[in-house]
Amino acid sequence: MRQPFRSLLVTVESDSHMWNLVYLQKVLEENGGQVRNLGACTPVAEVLRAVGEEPPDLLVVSSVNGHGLHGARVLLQALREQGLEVPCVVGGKLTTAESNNGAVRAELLLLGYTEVFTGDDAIARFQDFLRFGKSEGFSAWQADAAVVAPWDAPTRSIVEVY
Amino acid sequence: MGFGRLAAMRHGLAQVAELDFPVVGTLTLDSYTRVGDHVTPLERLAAGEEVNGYPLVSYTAEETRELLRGLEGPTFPVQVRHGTALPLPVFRSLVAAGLDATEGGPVSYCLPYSRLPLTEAVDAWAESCRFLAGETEFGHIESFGGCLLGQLCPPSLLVAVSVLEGCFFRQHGLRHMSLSYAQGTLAAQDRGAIRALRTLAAAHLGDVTWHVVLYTYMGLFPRTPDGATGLIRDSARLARDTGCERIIVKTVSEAWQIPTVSENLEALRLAAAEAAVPSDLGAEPDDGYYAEVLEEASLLVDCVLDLDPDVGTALVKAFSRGLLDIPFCLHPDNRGAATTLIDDRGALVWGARGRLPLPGPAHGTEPARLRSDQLHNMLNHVVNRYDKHGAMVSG
Ligand code: B12
Repeated sequence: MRQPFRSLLVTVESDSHMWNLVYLQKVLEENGGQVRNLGACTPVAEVLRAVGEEPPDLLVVSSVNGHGLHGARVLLQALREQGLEVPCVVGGKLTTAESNNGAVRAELLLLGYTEVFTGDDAIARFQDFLRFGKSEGFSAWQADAAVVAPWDAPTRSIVEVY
Repeated sequence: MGFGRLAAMRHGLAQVAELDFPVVGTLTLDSYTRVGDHVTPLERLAAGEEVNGYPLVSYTAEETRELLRGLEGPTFPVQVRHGTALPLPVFRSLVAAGLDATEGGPVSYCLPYSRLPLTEAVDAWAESCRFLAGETEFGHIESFGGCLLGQLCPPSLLVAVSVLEGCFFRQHGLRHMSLSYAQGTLAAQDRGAIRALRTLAAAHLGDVTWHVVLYTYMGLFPRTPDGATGLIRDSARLARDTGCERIIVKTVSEAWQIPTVSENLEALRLAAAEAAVPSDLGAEPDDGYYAEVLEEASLLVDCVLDLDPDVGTALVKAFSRGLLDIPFCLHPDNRGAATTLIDDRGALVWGARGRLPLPGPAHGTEPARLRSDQLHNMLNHVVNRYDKHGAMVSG
């Protein structure tokens, strides 16, 4: 892994919260990252441009306004459509209810996020992840399977056998 | 309070309307609407998901009128809170739904809420103010200048932006407005700041009607029910002790997620009960803080108004020169050279002043120098105080 590693820090288009971005930038820098912080309400097109111009080692998506789940889906799909592959993680408060955290994690991992950080220990887990990534590469990370009951994870329609 | 679905929104407002003390209903808009996306909210709702507020522009005026029917009126006014930098569509929708009271301002709804150029927001807000003033008899805007990023902002800047936005509203034809101030880290400083706000507003807004509205702490909130309750209670005391005409409260869910209707009702009851208790203001004088905030805020306001006879132009010039600079704000038009510290009195003070036209050393801890743990400690200053001592904390 290149030292320092290059990270791109973004949020979703509808989210104007900044303290999370200001804080995460410092955490990333203190953990050996170079940070390009695209700021609040990041348009998808701007993320695509930034990734295309200079592919980061890690794309970090942070959202707390409750629309992060949807924004994260839209962003990943847009990256795919452009043929841009980059390890990306997402975290914060991703829907309007904490009780969704398990299902949200399952859905976003399934979609292709490398890791999803919500809840109280998000930053501690993120630091472990960064430590691992710096030595092994971020794309080598294997997320633990999300613990969710199947009926709590309506990511796609649940198929039942009659 | 804001919910995406019509039935949920009506239910919430109906419950608030039934409270037996004076309340104002709020329609808080979702953040897709805030950035001008009026399609996604209805799509997400149709997909069975929730959005974080009421998508006023996506619904028809008739749907919103229906929602408000029998609730909104002289005894139960409803205000629209929206966080949009380009507010004309929201203003059109609220007027079409029969409403006339809203919130924001060219600076306070742009820099904390979008990445659009300040010049665009200034033009759009000017047009929208004239629209509201022209279409309604008592059109009212509450400046969000007293909040900005919600935390870690020295009070003098909050006071100055509130007053400057008041001047902007007035220039664009509004005659009814309110000026906001968000509870900070220290009650004595807040009391001094609110007095300073009144002094400055009296000097600059003599010929319009205005009042002061206090926001319960708008930053990172205590996580325990006791801590959150203690903070809300102290904000109600602050409003009472400073004669604030209105207070906007938070709920015990603030640190976590969108609050339920019953949490909203609980918070309103708590604040109303507390505000009714006679003031026990004793020891802690606020004269020092009053003088300090008034001096700084006056310097800021005068310096900005001297830049141009047009308030909007003056605001744009002030930000581009760093004469106004919101600590930690990432907006491209914010210089980002100023920082805040919490001093050993527990008061919010300038760290680095950047190019702010204020006395004192220009160089404190620069934004990039601050470590994550220092920022974390400051963000959690209020959380820790209240979560440790809960309802015991006061004054
Ligand atoms: C300050 C604040 C604001 C300020 C923001 C100013 C600004 N531009 O930054 C203002 C007042 C403008 C504001 C506006 C709004 N806000 Co607000 N806000 C807050 C508040 C009080 C504090 C946020 C904060 O400063 N956090 C400090 C940072 C450091 O912490 P954090 O954001 O929680 O992030 C931590 C973790 O989540 C995690 N994390 C976050 N992202 C990531 C990513 C990764 C990869 C990792 C590892 C970790 C991680 O790490 C951080 C450090 O621990 C919170 C409530 C609270 N927490 O107390 C509400 C809150 C986030 N806001 C909320 C909402 C809904 C809004 C509004 C829509 C208005 C409304 N309806 O109430 C608008 C949104 C506008 C928009 N377009 O998005 C909700 C979100 C609800 C939800 N998710 O269910 C909250 C939770 C309040 C609530 N309970 O309703 N807000």
